[in-house]
Amino acid sequence: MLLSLAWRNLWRQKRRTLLTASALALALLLSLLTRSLQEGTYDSNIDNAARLSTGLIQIQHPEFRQSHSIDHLIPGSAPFIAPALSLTQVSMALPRLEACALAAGEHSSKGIVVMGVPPEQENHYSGLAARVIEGDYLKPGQILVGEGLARHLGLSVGDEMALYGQGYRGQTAAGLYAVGGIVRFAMPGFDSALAYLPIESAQHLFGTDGQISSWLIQPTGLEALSPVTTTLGELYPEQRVLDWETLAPEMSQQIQMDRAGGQFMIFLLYGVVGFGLFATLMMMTLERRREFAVMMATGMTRLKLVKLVMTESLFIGALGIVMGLAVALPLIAWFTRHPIRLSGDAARMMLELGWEPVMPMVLSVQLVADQIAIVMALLLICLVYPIIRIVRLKLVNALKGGDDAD
Amino acid sequence: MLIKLAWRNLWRNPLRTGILLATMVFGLTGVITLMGFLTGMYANMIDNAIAWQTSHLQVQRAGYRDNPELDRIIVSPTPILAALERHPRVAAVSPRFLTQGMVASARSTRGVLIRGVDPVAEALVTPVASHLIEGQWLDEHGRNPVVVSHRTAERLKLRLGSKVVITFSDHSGEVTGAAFRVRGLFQTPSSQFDDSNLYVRHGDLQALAGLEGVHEIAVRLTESNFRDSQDLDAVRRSLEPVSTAENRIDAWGEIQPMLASILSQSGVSNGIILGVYVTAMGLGIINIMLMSVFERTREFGMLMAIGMPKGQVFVLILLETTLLGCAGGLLGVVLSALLMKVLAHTGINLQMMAEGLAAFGVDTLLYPRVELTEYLMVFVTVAATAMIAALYPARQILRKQPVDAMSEKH
Repeated sequence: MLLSLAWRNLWRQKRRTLLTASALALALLLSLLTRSLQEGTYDSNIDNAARLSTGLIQIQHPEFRQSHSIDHLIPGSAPFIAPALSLTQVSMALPRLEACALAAGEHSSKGIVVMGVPPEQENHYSGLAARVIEGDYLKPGQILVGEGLARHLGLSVGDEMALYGQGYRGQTAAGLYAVGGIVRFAMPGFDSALAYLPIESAQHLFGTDGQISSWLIQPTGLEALSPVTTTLGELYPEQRVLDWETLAPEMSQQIQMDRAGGQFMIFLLYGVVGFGLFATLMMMTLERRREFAVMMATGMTRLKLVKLVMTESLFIGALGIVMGLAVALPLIAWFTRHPIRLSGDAARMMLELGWEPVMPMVLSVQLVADQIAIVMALLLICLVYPIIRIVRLKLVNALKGGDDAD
Repeated sequence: MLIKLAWRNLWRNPLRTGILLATMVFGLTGVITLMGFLTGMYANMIDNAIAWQTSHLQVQRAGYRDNPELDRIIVSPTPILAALERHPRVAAVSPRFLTQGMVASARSTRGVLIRGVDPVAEALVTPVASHLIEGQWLDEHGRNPVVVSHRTAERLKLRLGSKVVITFSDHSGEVTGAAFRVRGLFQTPSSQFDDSNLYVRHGDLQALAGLEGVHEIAVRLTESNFRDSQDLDAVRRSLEPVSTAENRIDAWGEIQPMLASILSQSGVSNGIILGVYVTAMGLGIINIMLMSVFERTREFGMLMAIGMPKGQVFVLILLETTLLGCAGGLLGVVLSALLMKVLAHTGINLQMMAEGLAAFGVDTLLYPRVELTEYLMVFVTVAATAMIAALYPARQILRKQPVDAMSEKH
C-alpha cells in the first residue's frame, strides 16, 4: 500500500522527480566514468611499465636495490629458480642482468644501462621485438640500441658500438658489438640510455660466470601479488624479494596522488549534488505540510508518514541509480574494449611523465557497488533534517496552513 | 524596482535561498581549491625546471641537443658573453663544458651528464650552491673536486672526500678519465636530474678532454615570470647580431617543449573541471527554481492580473536567480580567496608523496595559485549558469493565462 502511494506521489510532480533523479544520475555517471578510467589506467600502466622495467616481483641480491652494482649478483641457474616456478600462482620467471657501461660510437660516448636478457623469453614477456623500429630483434653477438641512444651516438643499424665498463669483481669489461636493431619506447628518455644484449653475451662481457642481477617473477594476476611475494620471501631467505611498489615508489605514489585527486573531485561533485538533493527533499516536505497533516488527522501514524517519505526518496534514488547505470555501464563496457587513445599535446605530456597515452577503463563490480553505496548514503544524510521536521510537525498549525514547528 | 522586488522575494524563503547559496559556495570553493592546487603544482614544476635545468635561455651550437658530440662547441662565444653581460635584463650567465660519461666508485657505476662549470658563474645561474645537503660547492682550491647528487652518492656509497672515477670519450674517441674527490652533495626537486647529473670545474674537464671552449651558455633573466615571453625575446634579439648562424639560441619552452604544453594543458583541464561542476550545480538550481516558481504560480498570476506585463514577470524570475548566482558567486570567490590566502601562507605539505613528486620535479611543499582572471572566470560562469538555469522555470509560468495561474492550487 505504502509503496504504491509513494510511487504515485512521485509522479504527481513528474518534472521534479526526473530532475532530481537526473542530478543523481549525472553524479553517478561522472564518478563511475572517472573512477573506472583511473583504475583502468593504473592497471594498464602498472602492467606496461612493470613489464618493461622492474617487473611485478623481483628476486635480487639484498644489496642490489641500493647499489645496482655488478658485484651484487644471484645465481641464474635453473635449479636456483625451480622452487619459485613450482608455485601455482607464478606463471613465469625471467632472468635479467643489468649493468652500467660507457657506450661509445664514433664521436661521442654516454654512460648507459646494458640489459642482458634471454631474447625469446623477454619478447614473450614484454613484447620487446614489437618495439624494434629498424633492423632485427636480438641476435647473438649483436646489440639492440634504444632510439634516443642511437641518435645521441650517431649510430644506425650495422654500425659498431663499443662498450666499456667495470665487470664482476673488478674485471674490465670491454666489447665491440654490431648494432643489430633499434628499439623505440613510448616513454621518451626511457630509450636514451639503454641497450639490450642477449643474456649470454652480457654475462660474458661482464664476466659474471652465469650469474644475473635479478629474477623477474610474474604472478598469475595482480591479486596474487602479495601472497607470492610473501611465499618467495620465505623460499629465498638469503636474497631480497621486492614487489613493484618498492621497486618503483615513484609510480606507486603518483598513482596514489592521482587517485586522491580523483576522489577529491568526486567528493566535491557529490557535495554539490547533495546540496541540491537536500534542497529538493526539504521543499518536498515543507510544501506538503498540509497534506501530511490531513493524513495524520485521518489516522496515519507519524512513523508511517516517515516511512512514506523515505520510500519516496528511495524511489528517486533508485531511479537516479538506474538512469546513471543505464548510461554509464554501456559506455564503460564500450571503452574497456575500445580504449581512448590520446593524441597531440595531451599524449606528449603523458609520455613525458612515463605513462602510455592510452586510457583504458576497467569495469569493476566493486567500483559500481561503492558508487551506488555513496549515492544511497548521500540520500539518507539529506533525509535526516526533513524527517526531523515531519516528526516535529504541529498538526493543528499545519492543518491551518501555517508554520509547523517552533 | 524589479531588482528590489527580486531581492526581497529571495529572502521570503531564507532556507531555500540559504541552501542554494551554500551549494554555490561549497562548489566554488572546492573547484577553486582544486584548480589552484593543480596550477600551483604545474607552476612549481615549471619554475623548478627553469631554475635548475633549462634556465631562461640557452645558447648552443645548432644540432647539439640532438647529437651532443664533444667537438660541437659554440662558435666564438666571447662576443656573446660580452653582450649578455651588458644586457640590463640578464641577471647571470654560466658557460658550461658538457660531456656524457660514467661515474664509478668501488661499489657501483652510473651513467651521468658531466657538467664542467665555472663555480662562481654557475652558482649565480642555478641554485645548486645553496642546495647542498652536505659539504661545499666547487671552488678554485684542491685537485679535481666533484659535487654529486645525494641519490648518486647513496647508490655509489660515497661520502665527502670519497674518491670516484669519471670516464668518458675524449674528442679523438679514446676513453679517458681521472679520479675526483667528492666535495659536496646536492639535491634538486627532480629525482631524474639528480640521477643523471654531476658538477666538476670546467678547467679540469677541458684538460681531460683535450679541448677548449664551451658547449652551452645558460642565461638567467632578472624578471622571473615565465608566462611572459617579452623579456626572453628582447634578450634573444640583442644576441642575434653578435652570434653566428651556426649557434642556436633557445628559450626554456623550446628546450623542454613539454613544459610549455603543460601550461596550455592545465588550462583545458581546469575548464573541464569547472564544466562538470557547473552542470551539476545548474541541475540543482533548475530544480529548486522550478519548485520556487510553481509554488508561487498564484502570486505570479496575481501580478499579471493586476497589470504586470509577462515580459516583466519573466525578467523578475531571471533576476531572482541571477542575483542569487551573483551573491553565491561573490561569496564563494571571497571565501575561496581567503582560503587560498591561508594556504599560500601555510602551503600544502605532501611529504608522504615525496618520491612521486620528485619524479615530476615538484617540491613537497606546494603553494596553490589562482590568477585573478580565474576567479573572474569562475564567477561569471556561476552567475551565467544561474541565469540560464532559470530560463526553463520562467517559461513554464509564461505559458499560463493569468486566470488559470491564479486558480492554481497545490
